[in-house]
Amino acid sequence: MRELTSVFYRLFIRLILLIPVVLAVVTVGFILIKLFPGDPAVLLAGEAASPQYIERVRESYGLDRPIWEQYIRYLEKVMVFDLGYSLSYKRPVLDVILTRLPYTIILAVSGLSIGLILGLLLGIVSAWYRKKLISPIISSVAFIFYSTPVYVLGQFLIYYFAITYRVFPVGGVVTIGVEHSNFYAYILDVLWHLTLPSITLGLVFMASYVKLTRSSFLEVLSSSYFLAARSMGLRTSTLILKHALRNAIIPVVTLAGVQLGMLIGGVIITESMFSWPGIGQLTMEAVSTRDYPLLLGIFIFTSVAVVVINAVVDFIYGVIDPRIKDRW
Amino acid sequence: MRWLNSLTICVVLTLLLGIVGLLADLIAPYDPLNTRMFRGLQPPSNVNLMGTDQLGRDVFSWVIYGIRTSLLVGLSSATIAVAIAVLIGLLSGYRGGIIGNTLMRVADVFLSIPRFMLIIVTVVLLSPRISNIILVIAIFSWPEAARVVRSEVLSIKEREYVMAAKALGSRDLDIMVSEILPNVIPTILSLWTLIIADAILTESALGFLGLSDLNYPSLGVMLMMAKNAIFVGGWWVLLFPSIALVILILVFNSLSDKLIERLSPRLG
Amino acid sequence: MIRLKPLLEVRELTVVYKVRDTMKYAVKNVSFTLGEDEVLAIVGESGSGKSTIALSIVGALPENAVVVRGRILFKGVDLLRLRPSERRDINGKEISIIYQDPIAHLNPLRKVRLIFKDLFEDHGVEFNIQKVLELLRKLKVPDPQRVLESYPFQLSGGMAQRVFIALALVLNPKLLIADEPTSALDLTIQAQVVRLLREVRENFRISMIIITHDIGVAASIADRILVMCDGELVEEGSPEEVLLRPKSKYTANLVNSTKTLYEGVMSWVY
Repeated sequence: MRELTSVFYRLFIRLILLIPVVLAVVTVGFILIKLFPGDPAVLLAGEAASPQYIERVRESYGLDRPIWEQYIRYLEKVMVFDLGYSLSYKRPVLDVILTRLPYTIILAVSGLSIGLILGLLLGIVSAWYRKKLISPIISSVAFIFYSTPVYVLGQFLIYYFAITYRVFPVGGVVTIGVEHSNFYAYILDVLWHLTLPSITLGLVFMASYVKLTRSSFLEVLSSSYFLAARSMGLRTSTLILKHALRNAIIPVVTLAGVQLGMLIGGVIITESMFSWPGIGQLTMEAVSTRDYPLLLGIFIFTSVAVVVINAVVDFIYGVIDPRIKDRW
Repeated sequence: MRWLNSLTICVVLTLLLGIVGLLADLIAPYDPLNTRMFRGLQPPSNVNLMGTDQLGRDVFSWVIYGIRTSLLVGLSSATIAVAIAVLIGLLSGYRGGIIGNTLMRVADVFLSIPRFMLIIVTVVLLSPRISNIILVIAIFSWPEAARVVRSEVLSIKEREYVMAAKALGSRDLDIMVSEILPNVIPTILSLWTLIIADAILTESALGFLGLSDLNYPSLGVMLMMAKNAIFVGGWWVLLFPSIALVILILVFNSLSDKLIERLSPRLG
Repeated sequence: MIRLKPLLEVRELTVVYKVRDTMKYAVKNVSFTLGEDEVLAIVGESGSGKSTIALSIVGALPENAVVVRGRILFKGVDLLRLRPSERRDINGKEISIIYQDPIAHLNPLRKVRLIFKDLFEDHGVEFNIQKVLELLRKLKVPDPQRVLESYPFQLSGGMAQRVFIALALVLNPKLLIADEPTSALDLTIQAQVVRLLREVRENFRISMIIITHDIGVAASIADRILVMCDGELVEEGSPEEVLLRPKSKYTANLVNSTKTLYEGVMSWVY
């Protein structure tokens, strides 16, 4: 019971410490607005707006007031999650973002999972059989994938699997114009569309995980406690599963957690390539339609999300690794 | 043939690419930006070694100039980023104190924000001119490098010869330059090449999204054309720029790895 | 004196390390025997090959080491000719080893109780937690329950050493090898560990091989002492014989330098 309260206490402290960072990030957003060329009121109201509307926007954002007042107003708005009004969608920015968010999350999670699983497997194989030929082969292949941009890899995959062999669809989330007989058919359709983009993402991520897993695993294998465990006559399966794996995985999973946070920021290119309706694509839309409120809103949202996720990952890491538990 | 190792191959490749970039005007047969010079979407032939894209541009010339653009952006932004990173890393690592810590906090904030999004937003705000692109990439690359430099400095600071120099009463600046700096150089070089690779990646990504400077042919732009070209069988529009891009990134990533391996005395 | 059949017989053991392109002899043609309920100490400086002998017995040599010649007969069976699975059966159950720096040799992320559990189960023995607790108490571990539920990094050096010894003894092995058991610890703890090992010797009918560079430790606990120098066995005998009537020059030097150190300290104190 005492442990539980201390866990919550630490989480609380963590969240409190977040505030300055979030504040800094949000301030950067404010600075960005100030850097926009042109009249901010026009930008926020839209070029096609009437002069009266522009004036109303100017008043509501306090743009005719001194700068610290503007800053305060800005902070006030952000705190109640008012990120402005999207010009192209004619809906509050936060609404638009939240509608698209699930798609990005699905893509990010599946891509990361594929990358993580593949990376772990290959990394472990590469470490365990480090004397055999397969180890440098795995490392080289991983290295090549690591150096291949997402849009190159993705396009090759599209070319082979979507165009030449027509196994997977080229883009989108669901097949257009199809009525789904039931919920499961819908899910299946989505999954079918999810395959190529998540594999693309997965392959790119796999590379960094292979390297990390391999070195982490090697470090464990050459450690004193592994030697002692071997000397105790433990079975190979016990050695790997209970003594090596758990220890080796920790840095890898931490990396995955951090990367997940970064991914929310938009797997922009992947979404763009596969016409996946997530936040990344939303960003590109906002760019092309010059929908500045939306663009800014996305920026603030994703930045804060990343900071929060990183803190949560840190915290979880502290819970899992008993060595860190005590240090708080 | 002891000398024919992977480091040599990397260096040789880098030099080759550099030569291609420098002599682009001489090597490229046609003006890459000239659309409609040829018929659209022609497969590789004697006239167009790598074929043409939908707008009738010669792919081979584009790739040559694309390599030059990538190298230009990569080298410039990496150099600027590393310069800033070394300065801040050294100062904050060696001197510490309020300034050092604040600088690192600033760097942390930079690191928390999803980088690519920020780059896009900034490029959109300012016009997509090549100088802006270079600056933006540099500005968003220095924080992570500064962090690495700082931690290196922190560990070197505790070594005996630095302590000795301090005890002898050398000025801080002298110590930083003559004792610490030389030992950070392998890391700096490795970071530099790594940032080059990353900058090339970013630069072509911007090209792919249509956010590059139109006067400077970007490999990413050709890949953007490939998006549609592959639907009508134009595989050459995808293949050749891809190979060039992957080789570019691969080479600098390898260099970065090898530099750390060879030059760092501890990790022999 | 009736010569009992030896428990362990090492014959002409020769081990070589591959370093870059050269080969270095770590152990050259070493032979000795060890009987039941006998304590042997192998003494030498760093690089003398003493640890290599220990590692050869349990098959924990590093990858670049090769046993080029020799036999290690345990109860008549040559350990070097066994299959890895057969060797694994013996390790931990008939022959155990404890290393220096106990905390580093225990998996930091695995509770002590679970490490014991792994040991039991992998040797096909049912996990008997009472036996473990009893053993820990015998080894003077305060609050054994709490220790079992802890993680190795939470234990002090002396405590970890006792846990390590418990792991080595719990399956009633015939031979316990201690590779530099005192080297990583503070002086006061060192004395405790030496006392502990003596008690182990008295309470359990077990043969021991103590590897150490400290001739004083060797003398205080061993029945016989082997002196190693540069991979060769240069002296063998009882503690009195080795300390007072050393036959080789090397041993004489070794004993003298220790004596000088001791005398120096004593003269300064008095």
